[in-house]
Amino acid sequence: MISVGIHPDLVIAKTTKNDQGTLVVGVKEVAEVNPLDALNASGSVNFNKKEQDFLIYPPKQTNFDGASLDTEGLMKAIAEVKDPLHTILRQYTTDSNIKWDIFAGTDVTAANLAEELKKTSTWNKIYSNIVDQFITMMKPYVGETGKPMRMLFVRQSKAKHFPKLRTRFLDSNPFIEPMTVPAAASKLKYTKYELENGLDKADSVGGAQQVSKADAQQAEALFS
Amino acid sequence: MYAFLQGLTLKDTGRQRKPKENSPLGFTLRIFANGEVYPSKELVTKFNLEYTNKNNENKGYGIDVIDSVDWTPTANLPRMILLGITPKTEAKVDLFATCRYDTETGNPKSTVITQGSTSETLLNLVRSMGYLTEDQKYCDLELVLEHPITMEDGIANIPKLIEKGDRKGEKTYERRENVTFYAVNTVENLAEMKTSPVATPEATTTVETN
Repeated sequence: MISVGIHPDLVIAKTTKNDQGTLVVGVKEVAEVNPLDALNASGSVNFNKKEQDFLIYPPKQTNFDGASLDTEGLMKAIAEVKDPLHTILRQYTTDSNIKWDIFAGTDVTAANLAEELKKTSTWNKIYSNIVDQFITMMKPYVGETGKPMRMLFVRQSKAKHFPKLRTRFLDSNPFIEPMTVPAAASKLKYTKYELENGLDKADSVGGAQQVSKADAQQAEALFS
Repeated sequence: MYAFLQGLTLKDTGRQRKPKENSPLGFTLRIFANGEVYPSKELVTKFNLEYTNKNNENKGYGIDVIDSVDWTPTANLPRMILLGITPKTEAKVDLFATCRYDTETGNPKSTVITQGSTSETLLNLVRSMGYLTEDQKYCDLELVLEHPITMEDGIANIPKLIEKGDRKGEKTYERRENVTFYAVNTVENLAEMKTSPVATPEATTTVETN
């Protein structure tokens, strides 16, 4: 497993859909391990390469409170799915080779955008377009070990310590860059918001709260 | 005393930069000891370096300056100064990227040849390479046009230094797409290399990114 943090020497090892049609982006470590050094090192030896699948879920048409998003909110929700994928593609090819047509097969026009985005069929088609087009465009680069990447993963939330891809403000806060960029010049850094909210922490501390033994005994005493 | 003030009426015509005879010949840049850099007319024409009207969508090109040892794809080649011909609209272009415009017409207030640019990066490089000594007022850098350098995938993440703020001086990088880079050397050195080709540094037309 690859945890929350900044990791060198990764490649996109898989881009596929699961049986629910959700995009799966697999990331795998490719750093060369010198077996002699590894065996001579203190501690246990682990030859397994770290890997992690990231599920890129469809965007939601509602906010956290369950209220419907307005048109701007819907557009942002789509962008939060598409932008990380676009950022990944840009590591392998130039902008002129990245061609999205996310409204293909829908009736969306500039005039009816607000209405069309509310339709479930249109909404689902947009997600499936993004997924299919990303998989197609990534095909030549999947598993390309000759161009390893450095990647930053954020914690899903305070409560959930699993890693996820950053989805917003990616131009100024990228989450992926080629290893040819020296570590000293890396742009992969946690934002002030992420740091303040512990989204750079891989452990479960600060997330789902562990109840101490003393607290548990105190609570139990209240009901005995 | 002060007779020259008699009957004098002043007129403010604004700050005027005195036209300089700074423009070198050939596909060259002239860099002065204070860091000012001026392109030749030939270079301006060849790479479309001239400033255009503020409303013109085609803004032309500027120049990125790279120390080859700081850039991973060229780090193992003999050290050289590389210049990248980059759209002016990109971020942090070192030379000839910005100018002042006439507020009414939107035209540039000066040409790229008269305005020039100032680059501490290039000045430090020509000093460290020995191209510009303390005794010299300037040196002329010529582009090695016969060996253009491109990236295999079109993507170049070129080294830059953060120039402002709390992180000033720290290393960073900027992405460039489909930019062609050229090595430069002094006009004198290149002329000498042409007569003794053994001394010419090896250069490749395509740089491996890994």
